Amino acid sequence: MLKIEKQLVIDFGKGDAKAAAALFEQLRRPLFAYFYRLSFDRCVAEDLLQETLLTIHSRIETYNHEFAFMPWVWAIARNKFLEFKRSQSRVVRLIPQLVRSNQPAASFCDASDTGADLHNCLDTLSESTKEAFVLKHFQGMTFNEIAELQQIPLPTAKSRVLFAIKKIREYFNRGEL
Amino acid sequence: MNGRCLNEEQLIELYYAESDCAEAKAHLASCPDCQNAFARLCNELVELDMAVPDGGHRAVSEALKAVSRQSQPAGQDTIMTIEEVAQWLKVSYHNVSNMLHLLPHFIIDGQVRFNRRLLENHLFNNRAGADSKAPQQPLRKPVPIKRVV
Repeated sequence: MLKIEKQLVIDFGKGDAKAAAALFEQLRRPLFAYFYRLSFDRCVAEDLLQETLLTIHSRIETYNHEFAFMPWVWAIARNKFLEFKRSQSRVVRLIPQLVRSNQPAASFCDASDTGADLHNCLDTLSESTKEAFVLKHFQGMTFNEIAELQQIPLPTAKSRVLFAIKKIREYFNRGEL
Repeated sequence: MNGRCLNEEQLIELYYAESDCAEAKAHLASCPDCQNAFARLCNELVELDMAVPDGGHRAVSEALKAVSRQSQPAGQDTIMTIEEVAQWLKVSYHNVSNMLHLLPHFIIDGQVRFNRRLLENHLFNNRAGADSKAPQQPLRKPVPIKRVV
């Protein structure tokens, strides 16, 4: 997991503009990748990243400096994504005919075909399993960190990643490329 | 494969370098079946790639703009005397005291005090009103030019 300097967070908390710019730039890549891999939509990832950064800024007083900074950031990012999914589910209920095609936004983004295949495969998994796999495989989190973030026991985090790998293997072996 | 071979969970832990079990590592080094299974798993996982475009710049710049807007100090909420207001507006003391009924002020124990933020708002609003009420036509009649013969 990305390590952020403690002094940078303290300066950011005091309202230092330079610290804010440096911190946001450090958080940009991992958070954008996280949102992009879960949503597979560049615009959504940009919006969620912006909302996350603003929430970090507005809620920095509530951060306890005795604990690590990044788990706190990941918790905010995860909540933002869950909020987004909830809002999307409401859209699905209201206008099902527009989203029935179940097409990911891959056609609007510049990802490779392999990425689109993997996204289609991950879409067949539950949100929590998909998230656990993305956090483990792409974001490089440890099983302990995933368990802490998802508020689940350690063996559950491991089994989610294992289940995702099995499903991905099945998907690609079935030749759904 | 024998009963001591590593299961998939252990292999995954080894792949992600999260296994602290020396026994599992030693077994992997000695068991050809586990080595084959581990190599297969590595090939599968290495191929799983989802390229992420270099994005997020817009989000960061927008967030920084919002942060700078929020961190700007609100109008100074300081209390001023008549002398200070006169100095600030670059007018005389008597000008301010004569205009007292037009300016937002309060009195504490007979002393006149101004709240700078309220005064700024008042002056700004009055200026806006004055601008909007500005006459379209000049009030003075144009002076006819005398023809010189």
